[in-house]
Amino acid sequence: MDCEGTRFLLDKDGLLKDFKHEIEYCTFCPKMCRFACAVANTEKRETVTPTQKLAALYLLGKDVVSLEEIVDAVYKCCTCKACFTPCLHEIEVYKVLEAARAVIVDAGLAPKACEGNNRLVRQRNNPYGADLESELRGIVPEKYADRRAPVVFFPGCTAIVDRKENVVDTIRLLEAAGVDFGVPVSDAVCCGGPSFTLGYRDTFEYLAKRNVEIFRETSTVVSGCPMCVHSFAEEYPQYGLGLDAEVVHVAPFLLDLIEAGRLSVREPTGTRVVYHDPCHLGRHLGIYDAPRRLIELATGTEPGEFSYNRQDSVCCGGGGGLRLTSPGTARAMRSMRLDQIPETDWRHLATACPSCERVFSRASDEVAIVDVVNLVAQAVFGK
Amino acid sequence: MTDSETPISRSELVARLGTLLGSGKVSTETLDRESYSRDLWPVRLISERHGEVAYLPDIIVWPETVGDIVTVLEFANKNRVPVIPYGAGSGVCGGSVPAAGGITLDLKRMDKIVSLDESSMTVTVQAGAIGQTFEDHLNRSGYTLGHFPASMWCSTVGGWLSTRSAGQLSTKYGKIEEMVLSLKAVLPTGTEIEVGRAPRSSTGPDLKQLLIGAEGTLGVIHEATLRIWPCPKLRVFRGFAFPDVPSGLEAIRIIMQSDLVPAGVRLYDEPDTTLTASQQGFEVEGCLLVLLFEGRNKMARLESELAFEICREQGGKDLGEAPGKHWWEHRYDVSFNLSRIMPNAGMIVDTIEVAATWSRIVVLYDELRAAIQQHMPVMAHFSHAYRDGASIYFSIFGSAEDGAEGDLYRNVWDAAMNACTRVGGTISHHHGIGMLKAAYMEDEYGNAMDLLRAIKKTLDPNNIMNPGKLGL
Repeated sequence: MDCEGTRFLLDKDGLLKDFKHEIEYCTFCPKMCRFACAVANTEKRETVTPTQKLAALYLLGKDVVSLEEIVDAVYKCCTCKACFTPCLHEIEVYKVLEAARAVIVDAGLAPKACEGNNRLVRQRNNPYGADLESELRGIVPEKYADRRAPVVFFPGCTAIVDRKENVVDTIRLLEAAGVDFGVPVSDAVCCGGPSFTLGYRDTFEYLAKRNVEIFRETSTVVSGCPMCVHSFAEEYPQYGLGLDAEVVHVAPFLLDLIEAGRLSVREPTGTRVVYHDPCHLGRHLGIYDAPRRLIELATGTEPGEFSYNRQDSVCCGGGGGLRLTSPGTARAMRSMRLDQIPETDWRHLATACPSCERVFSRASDEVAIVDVVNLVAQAVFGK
Repeated sequence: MTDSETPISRSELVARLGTLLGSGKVSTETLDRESYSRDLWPVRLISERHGEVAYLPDIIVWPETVGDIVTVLEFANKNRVPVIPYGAGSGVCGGSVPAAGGITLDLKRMDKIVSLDESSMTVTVQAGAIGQTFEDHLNRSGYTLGHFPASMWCSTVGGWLSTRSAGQLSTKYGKIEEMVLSLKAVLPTGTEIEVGRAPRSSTGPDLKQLLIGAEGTLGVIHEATLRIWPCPKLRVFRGFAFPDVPSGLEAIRIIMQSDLVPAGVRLYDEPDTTLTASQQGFEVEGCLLVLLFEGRNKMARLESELAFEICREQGGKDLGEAPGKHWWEHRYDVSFNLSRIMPNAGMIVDTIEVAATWSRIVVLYDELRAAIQQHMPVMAHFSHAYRDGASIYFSIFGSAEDGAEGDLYRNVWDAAMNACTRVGGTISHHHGIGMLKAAYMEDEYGNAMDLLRAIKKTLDPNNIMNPGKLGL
């Protein structure tokens, strides 16, 4: 991959200056988000509470600790934004830590696993090292491949590699609703979100520029991946790469189609499912009701709820690159989340994020992991 | 980073404890040591602000079993290494700050809710459970502990027990010491004990109460069986305005001595009323009193009606339910103020919580207020009421030349504590002693302090448990 992007110039001093407010407020807070941090609750270690992670940056500014000494803590964040919910000061800790990671990468101090992953992204344009084009050729009908259309369906790497049924079902539903759409295939690349969160801003910028080109004549970008949507909507504009197109997650997009009468449910499936709010869909994008409504329409019953749900939902462990940097912690978080399923007779766990589905499906044989798109497809087309 | 006074080297500590406990349970990482060197004691926050790292533990240990705790204490006792039990570090007195280095023992890996006895209405929980998580768990089964300290989101059950904490609804549900049916602990020499087994017993002194509030100086509490309540069916809020502090206090005294049990009682003095009312967007002349009754529908209604009648008879002006509801919905907000104030050079904010009997409460308020005001602005509220008295919670805030705020801080505390002892109040109602108030313990206890020292000497002959706390 040829990275021609502008180098990310934020250095240590710039980081401490730009996020002075956040760093100081968190450092002197009594850890009011202590109970909400899934990483801290998993590791049971004060250093990885949001308060202490930003206090580490405060101490960096006081030359008490070195950048090298805080690397581990800075990467102990799943970017789930749960600490934001109770915070009266509305501090977005993950943004500070993502910026700190960029400084760490720039200083050549990034964890080895991150460096390896970045090399993979640079080689294959996605964090899985997959051949996205050939993966997509097998599941995207030729007529939609690389088609220039008002609507672009952007499946996202995780769905392409690991949740192909999501891609297939979404295409079938868009087709059935008469949506004029296309799918990037020959030039499919990662949204850049994973590179952004790990601190590889130049890699992110390169990928973002590639995608901006793809979306140039598009009015709407639809994706089933909340992280892709978040990246397009929140991170691209930080680099002057804001899209002209509307960016929307597939859940509210499908709900609109159903409510407009362009898709109709043949017969509710009757499947009882419990719903997990993905962090990026819920706390980051504010979408809580659309997937629940889709589940209700598709199955005929309201979804079951985790004991911690909506803005209090708990991360599956798949965010923030935690599976790369702290795989044991990520696995423990996944177990903690699955333990929060309220009853024992739930056989289906629904969510609306391919990354969550990838994480959960590797842990549980007892619970079938489905995407809301799969449920809607079953209800619209029959089993 | 500086080395501590621990007699054996840090590398030896980590090697030997690592071997004894197995992998993944110890750390000497620079950042971990810094994280565990602080709580919310302003002295420690001031040093952080100056970039001075103090009170570092030599090593952090995360026990996962009672056996791990025994192993650590036996090792520490043999090698005379300090051990500092640690919950979540939300204390404001330096109680979990390693005064002389040593081993910080973080209990949070022991955070299980062991069992729920619905017949007896008790729950058994390990000390490392985070407060809000524990309460959430109880709520899902229809119960509450009724313990809502301002640190609810950032403190542990073990911390509550070790500091003898009080929640915001303590007037109904009791303080933490009243909630304890039994305790399990490890003594400084490594002996496991369990104390308490029935609602009450006439078998000598209550040893539970020896460990509760001991701030980890007498051993490590690792499990407790606590009394629980059904979640309330109804909450009744009301605000009243009284002309002044004495008239508001008189209304509270009569309520408390009329067999009425409010869940929440808060009387704000004039400065605190002005601030509190302005946050709610209205004006109150005099002093705001907030009342909350909760529980079963009929009982809460009846009790509240009787209490409101007393308030009106005592000259209180009925302000409706809004002030009470606002307090309840924002009951933890005050803790966020630290972030606004403490980053600024020279600034100090803190709270001083004392208590006295009704016959002394107004004098205590007047004397402390006068003493504190000589150094910095102050406001206060009365928030835990009893049949025989109440607590006063002073909020203080001030500033000095950058670098001189430590002296100002010590001066205001000296003035306040001296005034409190002189008037006959207790120097701490629910925050505990830690390092902050250690020097004032002698004045509080008199020669009874010798008894506390003798107990300490017997249980902890090598003074390994949280040295420097409680004046021990």
